[in-house]
Amino acid sequence: MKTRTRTILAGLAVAALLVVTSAAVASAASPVIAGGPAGTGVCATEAAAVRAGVSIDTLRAFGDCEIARRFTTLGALASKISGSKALTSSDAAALSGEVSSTKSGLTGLKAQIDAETSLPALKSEIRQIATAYRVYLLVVPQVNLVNGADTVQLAQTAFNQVSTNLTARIAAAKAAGKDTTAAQADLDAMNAAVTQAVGLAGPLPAALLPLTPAQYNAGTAGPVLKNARAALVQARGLLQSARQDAVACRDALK
Amino acid sequence: MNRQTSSAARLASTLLIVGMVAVACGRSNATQGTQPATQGPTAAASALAATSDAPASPAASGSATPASAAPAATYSPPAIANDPVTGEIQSIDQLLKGIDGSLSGTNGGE
Repeated sequence: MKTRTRTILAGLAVAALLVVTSAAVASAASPVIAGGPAGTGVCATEAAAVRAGVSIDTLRAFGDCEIARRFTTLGALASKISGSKALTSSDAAALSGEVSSTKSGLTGLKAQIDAETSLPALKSEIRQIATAYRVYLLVVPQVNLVNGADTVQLAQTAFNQVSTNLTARIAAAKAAGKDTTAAQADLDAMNAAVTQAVGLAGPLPAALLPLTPAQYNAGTAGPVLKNARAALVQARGLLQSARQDAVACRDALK
Repeated sequence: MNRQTSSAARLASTLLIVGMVAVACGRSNATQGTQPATQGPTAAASALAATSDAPASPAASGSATPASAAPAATYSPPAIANDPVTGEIQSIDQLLKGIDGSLSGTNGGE
């Protein structure tokens, strides 16, 4: 009997380990795309060479490195968009189009830089790598925030399923003479929090997708991004609260 | 000849009884046997809700059959480990992690 119990416990421990490991793998499989600072050191050598002596060659090398860095980021964004289970097809198409056009624009700019013979013109073109495309200040946040907003919508579907199950359970418990007041209050709170979260996240894609680098440079896109982020933070908090309400409701019916 | 007729009658009556028992068992399995095992939580809850309308005692219903003497509906939620709601909450946890990931990718400079 003791041996059997030990065997069962060992099996459970292995199963738990597998679950934890697979969860870690799952979160590692969707890396966060750095918003900029994490990648700024990539071209440190080329930047140091420019500081040591400005020339066509040093500037071109710096420009090419900065563009290559953005290509890497855009590639990661494209993978994130195509691999996202949350993005709606229309949002995914809009974001893919933006990533694609940004990459095309940078490809053209790289060709200009590589062929440039005038130092002032080259300096201007290198500035355009940042100002004309705003990969890190605009495109990366757009992809992440729209994906986050669509994830809130997806969470609503999951919460609806929880709500259906808990509603049926409350009805059954009530029919059996159990006091379901607390469980019903938890369920109501859950549904209210989800509705509020969806209300916050729902309008975000429509506000975020039309933003352009020109609007960012003019100072009008920055506040939209900031407000969208704040709304998504709030929506996440509401969903966390709704999750706690769901657990409380389930436990109240035990 | 008479002995043969008697044996044939005995055999026929035995087969008849066996056949009747088999049919009775088949009906019983069809109505009770596998149904609860395949019921989902919602169906089970509906079934519980439906049975709660049944009279609590034979006296109240006026029926004298043993079947109507079944107890009132009882509520027995699934264990947490097998609870579909628990699985759904785990899915929600993954979605919340996804939102966290999206938020952490929105800060940075050019």
